[in-house]
Amino acid sequence: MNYKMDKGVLTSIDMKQPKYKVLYWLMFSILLAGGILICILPVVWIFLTGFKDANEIYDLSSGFFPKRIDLGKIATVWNAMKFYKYYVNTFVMAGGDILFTIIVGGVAGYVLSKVKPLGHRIIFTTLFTLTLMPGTCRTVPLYMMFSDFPYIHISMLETYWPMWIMAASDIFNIILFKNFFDGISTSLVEAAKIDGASDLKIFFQVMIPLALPIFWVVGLFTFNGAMGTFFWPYLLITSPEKRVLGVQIYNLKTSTFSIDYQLLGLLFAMLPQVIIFGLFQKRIMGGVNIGAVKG
Amino acid sequence: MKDNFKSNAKKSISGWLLILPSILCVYFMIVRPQVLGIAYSFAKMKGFRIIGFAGLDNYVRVVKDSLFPKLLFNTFSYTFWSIIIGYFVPILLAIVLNEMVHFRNGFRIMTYFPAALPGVAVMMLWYFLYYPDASGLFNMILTKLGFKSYIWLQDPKWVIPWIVLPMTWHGSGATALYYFAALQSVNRELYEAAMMDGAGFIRRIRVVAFPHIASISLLFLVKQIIGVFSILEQPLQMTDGGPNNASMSLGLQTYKYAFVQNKPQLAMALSVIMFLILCIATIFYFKMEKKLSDNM
Repeated sequence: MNYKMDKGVLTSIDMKQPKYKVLYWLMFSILLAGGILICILPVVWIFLTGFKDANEIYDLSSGFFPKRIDLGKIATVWNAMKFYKYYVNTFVMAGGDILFTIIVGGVAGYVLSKVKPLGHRIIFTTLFTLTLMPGTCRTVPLYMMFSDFPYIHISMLETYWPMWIMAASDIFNIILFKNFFDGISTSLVEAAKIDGASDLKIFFQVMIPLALPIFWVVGLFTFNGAMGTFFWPYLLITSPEKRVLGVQIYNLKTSTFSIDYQLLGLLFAMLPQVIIFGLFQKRIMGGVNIGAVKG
Repeated sequence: MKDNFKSNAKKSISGWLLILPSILCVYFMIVRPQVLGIAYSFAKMKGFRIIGFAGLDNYVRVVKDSLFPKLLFNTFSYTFWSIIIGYFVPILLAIVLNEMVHFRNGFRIMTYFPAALPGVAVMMLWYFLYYPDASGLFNMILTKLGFKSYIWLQDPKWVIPWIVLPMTWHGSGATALYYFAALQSVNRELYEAAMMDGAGFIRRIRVVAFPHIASISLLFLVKQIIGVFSILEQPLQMTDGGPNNASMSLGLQTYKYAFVQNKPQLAMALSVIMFLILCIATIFYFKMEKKLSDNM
């Protein structure tokens, strides 16, 4: 055992004492058992129970594991619940969210950090003050606005536009971008400017490559947020053709599908995020701290 | 001089043009609805159409509603339970995670895992865990252990903590990472100094680690109170406010007023009341944050 790299309160010197050794391994076992039982088991249970048929689920004498695992059932459920459609809808919504966040929010962060037009301080202070305001009384006016948008008088109901515009107006992301860009040296921006590049060109060709980590973090969190979005799509999109995963999962509760189908369906709703987490867990878990302002 | 002015003006115009889309979005999504939400709370409305001025009528109707005291009580109950169940879990988790030498990264991934799942899916997952007959996991365990099965979300006395529990399950991993990062930034010499004085594990945590995370833990507390106070989605997804309004919150009632009972003016009056309460909490939060950062 090598405790050279002390990280916790207990040090390698402590670990020579039997009582701390016991304490350490006690914490280790509790964390391991608790982690598996509490964090992982519920999801595994959903998966396994989904493979039971309805009779087996209601049979009190049946155990934790299903009698047999028929992988074909996954395809059956996928087709029966038309998950393909909901995946496409959700990816369209999430893709738009990411584009709007990165382009509108990212450019705003860039302007506030590097272009600094007249009045940029006032703009920033105003934006920051707005983030402090509780949002409780905006729901109804927003709904009224989406059903008849002022000046242009079009209805945004049954479209993803409201979610996209809301993504673009996420001030936390603008602040996040600005703070990250502040840490990037201006010399490259200045050099590009002397070469006659426009601000927009500098943003895409200089800023994005230099500040890639923040674009990854914001992109991943926006995607994850979109996959779990419920309230606004639930309120604004009633047509089943346009429904997204989050709303469909909620609808399962009252659907006529048998419980094993509902459980496997739930798994489909979790799958994209689990895969994203598996692929990018370092960026996501590192991003939690970059996004501390977002809480 | 003239050239300088010209280039400054050019810079400003290009900057304004680029930031305009985001300012428009913020105006339409945040500023305008904020102002209208307060204004409309004084309006007489028919469906979603404004037909006149109502004065304080909407407020009187909202407060005199026989459900109002219950809503207030339930909302405080959500806040109370979310602190009891959810506040200390991430702190404890971070302290234990911080000690781990073996499987350190694995533990972090495992405890963060629930936070990586979509919010709705988490609530639905727990809805199935709570299933009132023997098919739910919790009742399966209860019956296997020889107990009678329990009605979980249909128990009006305990439904609020049962809704708070999955929220804690979902949120703790991410919050623990903040505390974990804070614990990582403790100057190790402080531990060594405490050890010289013969301080054991518990004492070192109390004297060195706790003071170090005290400020962010206070901030998280107020933040959590502000967040849970406007709780809407989770009870909507789990119970729709039932059984018999036992899990109805102020936030959920604004939704019901506007989109179920078709009385948006009442929704706005109630949400303005919530807004005022939350504003006070937010001002308190910033006073505190300022005081804490001044002391640091």
